[in-house]
Amino acid sequence: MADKETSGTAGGQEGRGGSALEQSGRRGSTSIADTVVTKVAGIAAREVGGVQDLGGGAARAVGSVTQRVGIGDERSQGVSVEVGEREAAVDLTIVIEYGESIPQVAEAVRSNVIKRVEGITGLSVTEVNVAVNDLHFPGDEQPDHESRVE
Amino acid sequence: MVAEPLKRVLPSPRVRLARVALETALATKQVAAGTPGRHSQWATADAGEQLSGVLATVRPDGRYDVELCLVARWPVPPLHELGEEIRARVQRALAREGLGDSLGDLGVAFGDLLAPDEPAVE
Repeated sequence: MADKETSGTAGGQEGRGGSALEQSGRRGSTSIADTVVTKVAGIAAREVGGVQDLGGGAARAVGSVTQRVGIGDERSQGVSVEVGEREAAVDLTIVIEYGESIPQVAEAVRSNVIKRVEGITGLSVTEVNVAVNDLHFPGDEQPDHESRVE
Repeated sequence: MVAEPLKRVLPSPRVRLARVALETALATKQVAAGTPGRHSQWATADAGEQLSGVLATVRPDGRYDVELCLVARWPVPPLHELGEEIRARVQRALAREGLGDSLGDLGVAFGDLLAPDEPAVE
């Protein structure tokens, strides 16, 4: 990059769609919206083996409805980011596969989220808080009871 | 006799600048689309067509500042490097079109990210 100098703030870009980080370059600047940081964190979390889903129970239930009607996005579900000029903090709510080591999966998630967000956005990630909201069992997708009607 | 509406065969330099900048950005592999943003602020009207994801505004010196708002495609490289690459490509394309001197600042904003399992943007 021609110029690594950081300028502009999240606040300075709020009116333009919540852009987060801005860096000045040769005759122009590059900015990244909070949505992008959120999606990167969500994708990074899902890349880790042992993570079954993101979001709390209510978020997942609401999310499945909003996604069906086309107004929701599962990649942002369970992810909350706070983005400043140079730093970001990430809160994640995840569902882990039963049998996996929760500390190991959480650490792997933390490490991958930091790697991806820092690599892609240039932000420094100050913290990644992982809340394990539920465990997933292989039979969870199957209906509890057979339908009485065909 | 009713006069026919005037056909605009020559787009203004502002619109030409916006179109070349947007088309060049969209030709970049890691860019999925342009996006007008939540309040449609990154859009330029061109003879009945809307160019989504670009805004060109004139400056006091007669040049135009161009702002692009783009959707990046996963997997993405470092976005600031991608922004610089797009800026360089657009500057080259504008120079080829004889519009290089009309360009002021060129801003690149990444407004969204197209995830691997997300349907392609129309």
